[in-house]
Amino acid sequence: MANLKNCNLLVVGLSAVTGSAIAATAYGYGIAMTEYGPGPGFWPFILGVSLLAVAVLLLLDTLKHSAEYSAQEILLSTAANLSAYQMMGIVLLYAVLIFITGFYLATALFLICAMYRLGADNFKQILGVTLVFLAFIYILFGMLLHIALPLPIFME
Amino acid sequence: MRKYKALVAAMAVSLSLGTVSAALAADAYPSKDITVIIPKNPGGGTDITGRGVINMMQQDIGKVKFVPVNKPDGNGIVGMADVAHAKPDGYTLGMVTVELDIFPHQGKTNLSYKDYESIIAPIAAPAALIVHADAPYNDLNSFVKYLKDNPGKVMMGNSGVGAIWHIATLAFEKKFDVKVKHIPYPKGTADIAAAIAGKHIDGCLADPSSFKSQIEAGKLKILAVMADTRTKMFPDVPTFKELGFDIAIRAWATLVAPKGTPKEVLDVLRASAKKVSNTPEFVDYFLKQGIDPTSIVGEDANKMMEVDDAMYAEFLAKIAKEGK
Amino acid sequence: MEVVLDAFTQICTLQNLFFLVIGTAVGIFIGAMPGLSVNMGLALLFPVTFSVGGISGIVMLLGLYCGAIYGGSITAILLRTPGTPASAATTMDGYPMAIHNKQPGRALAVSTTASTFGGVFSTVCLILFAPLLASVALQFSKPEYFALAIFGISMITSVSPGSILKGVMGCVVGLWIATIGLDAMSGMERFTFGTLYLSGGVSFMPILIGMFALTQVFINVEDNYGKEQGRNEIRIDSVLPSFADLKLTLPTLVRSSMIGTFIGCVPGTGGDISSWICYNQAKTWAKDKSQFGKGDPRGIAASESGNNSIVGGAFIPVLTLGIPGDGATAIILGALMVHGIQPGPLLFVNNALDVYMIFIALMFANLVMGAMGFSLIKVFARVTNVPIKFLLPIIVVMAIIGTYSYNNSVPDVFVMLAAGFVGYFMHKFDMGVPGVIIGIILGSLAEQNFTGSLLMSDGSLSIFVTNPICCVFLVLAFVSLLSPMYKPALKALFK
Repeated sequence: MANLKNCNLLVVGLSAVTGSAIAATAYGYGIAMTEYGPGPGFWPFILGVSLLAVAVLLLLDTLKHSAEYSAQEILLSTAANLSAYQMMGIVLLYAVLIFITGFYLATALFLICAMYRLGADNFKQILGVTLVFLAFIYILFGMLLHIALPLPIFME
Repeated sequence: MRKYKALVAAMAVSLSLGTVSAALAADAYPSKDITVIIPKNPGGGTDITGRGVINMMQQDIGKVKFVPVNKPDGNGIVGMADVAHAKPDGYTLGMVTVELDIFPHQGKTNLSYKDYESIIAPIAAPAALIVHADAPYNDLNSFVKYLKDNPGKVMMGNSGVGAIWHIATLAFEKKFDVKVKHIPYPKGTADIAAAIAGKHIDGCLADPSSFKSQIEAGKLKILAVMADTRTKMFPDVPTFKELGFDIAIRAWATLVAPKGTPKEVLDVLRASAKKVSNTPEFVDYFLKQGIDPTSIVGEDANKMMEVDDAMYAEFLAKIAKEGK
Repeated sequence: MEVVLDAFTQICTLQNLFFLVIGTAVGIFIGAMPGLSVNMGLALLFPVTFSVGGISGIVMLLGLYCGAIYGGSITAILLRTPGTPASAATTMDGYPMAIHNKQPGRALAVSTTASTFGGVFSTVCLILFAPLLASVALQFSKPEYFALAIFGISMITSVSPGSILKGVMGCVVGLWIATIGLDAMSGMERFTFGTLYLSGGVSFMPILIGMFALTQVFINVEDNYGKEQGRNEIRIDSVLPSFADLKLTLPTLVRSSMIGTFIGCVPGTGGDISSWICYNQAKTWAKDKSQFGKGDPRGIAASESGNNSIVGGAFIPVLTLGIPGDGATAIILGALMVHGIQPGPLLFVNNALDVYMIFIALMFANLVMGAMGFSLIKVFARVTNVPIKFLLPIIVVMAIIGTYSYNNSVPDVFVMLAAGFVGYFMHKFDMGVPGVIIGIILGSLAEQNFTGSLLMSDGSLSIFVTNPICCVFLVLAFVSLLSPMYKPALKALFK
């Protein structure tokens, strides 16, 4: 189980690295004053340094409240979390699938799959909702708004 | 359960039948909806122009719909690339702007005007020299004199470094051998209008449509336009050419098809565009919005894009050599 | 006076009313759907204004504009998904009230009242004070815009749910995200890693939709794991807000509407900035702050009146100067011009009739929006009765469609997913999302005007102190930024 202290330290680490990277890249863009005002790296450099500064502040704050934060648990690997991660995976697959098999097919598969995982067990209901919803999308986006939704790769 | 399975099967069959029949339809062009990719955000100048033109062409051709699609990604390059790479069957068209002639010389893309066949360029807005009405100069020459007396102090607005109006101002500096301070207003010419009206900057070189109401109210004045002929909107304003300085910079938008589109298809589109652009409704639509409509069709538009491309190529190379 | 009556009779025709209702209905729908933007709706209906005669087309567009800003609050309250960026702040108190406190009807009632109030208030300001406010708007140059942006950013210390330091961190990251792409002030591409997609900058909408809609889906999946899902039986007794709520929110409504009208009349700023500033101000001035973030009606009232009062304010520069404040007003400006109404300094002088017609049309648009909103509250609230197992997958699909149709861009969809995943972990780590959103919204406004100001002053920082309006905002920003530090000390002093 993770606790708030460890998570904070992780955030501190990530932001320190990001802040430094931003500041370094910005410095490379040039921060001196030019004909067009401050160089393009000026503002991002300030941002990178600020991020670093806030990371340091957060580090100090975490160390100061070390005992208190260690006691606060952050749930990252309970069964409930896992179900959330599963959903993330399904959504990612769905997104990729849209651009391979086309929108309508991928959405139909996703809806059926997701509803089932969320506890729907009445298959008639699942199918009904899926079909009605897809029809709604088709009428709205396809016919009324003329917004083209991705087609299957083999149709393009 | 069986009822639902049957329902699903029926839907699948009908959907696939529908797609097959659409693919088999091979009538005269156009026989299905035409997609027009607009590489800008909805509501902007290029978008409104494009939608206006295709709306009128749709009413003229009658049989099919023109469907505009906005693709502003990557400063519009993604949208323009999509048109260039689309199947040249006349069912995918697009709008391209003058940036097509500028970006390749700034190293931003490999696309160029050569990837397209023009249908019509409905607008070609010239850069107009606009200053505040209270300014002490009333024509181009006195403005240039003022600039020479105050090098590097006069603030001229533009819509972004490297964008068309900035380049117009650079060309102006070169032509008259003067120096101004360039102040970018990345959100567009409306902000520049507010800035000049509020006397925060001294002037700009930009297309006059955003400034129309201020000019007509007498708050701003327009000294000259960088065009070959006087504009319909401000027929009293001289061109740079008339005053002895041959410089013409215009921001155009062209409706194009990908290169390789068959001639019959292009002819249908160009004929419709030509007809539509000579109607009073067309002229009215643009004039009322403060845009000077043009009717540059087909090969003429191709030529315009080519000429401007050569000009920007030469100019930007010169600028690069001198090290901005 | 007869001009006003004349204008009134011209507007009150059956045809105009018909198109107003249609425009408002379409607007509310577009506003509610995340990803469908106001500008897209206006651009779509723009050609229709030619086929219909007279001022009906303009009236329709006005209805769409008002309706869209209001519509965003519906999904913000019921699904924690702002349908438009202007309603992001409404999620802070709207969603907790609707779902955690099980009072969706009350939340929607307060939101509809606030939106109508804001719209009507700003229209009245437009009618009475347009020239005065326009001259103030003209005073705004780059230093003033920068100061306003900094003022907006300083909200972060008081608006962050959860840890303030992490909220600030999110804000800085948001500010950085806004710098990605082609820098218009220097012509240079920054942080693009050589990709074409990033050279145009990271789109804001996908991040907004991802961090709100998608993240909320994942949070709900986790919260509802293993729970028996009974049917929610939410019954709405009254669609109008209670007298107690009205009394409580009135000061907030007036204050936020004033702020919103002012921000609206400054070209280039919109409902997204205004709603956050108003939310923060409501929290600052409230004696009892404990309920903010948990379903305080004042939070909803502040955000919704703050964003709808942009409408009247935005028409001030349009009508008096002929200068549009944003993309939406630019389209409406175009429509006005095509119909022969030439906004600008001459409008009030030459075409008084047209001016009054626009005023009355705008007033009607707000009232119709309110009426439609109230009549549909019972329908909207039904959404909360839909079982989670059906609702969540549908929300995911809507999020993806909305993101894709915004720019017709494939990478946008994956940016949205990434934002959703990151948002979930941010929520876990007690890092508030508003910070990132505020940073992205205000990032380019702040930077471009900072750089531009220094350009105008040849590098001298004095430009920020010599301009009075700029000074005022900077001082306010400073005060606001440091408020968490000295507030407890002040309280102790005055106890």
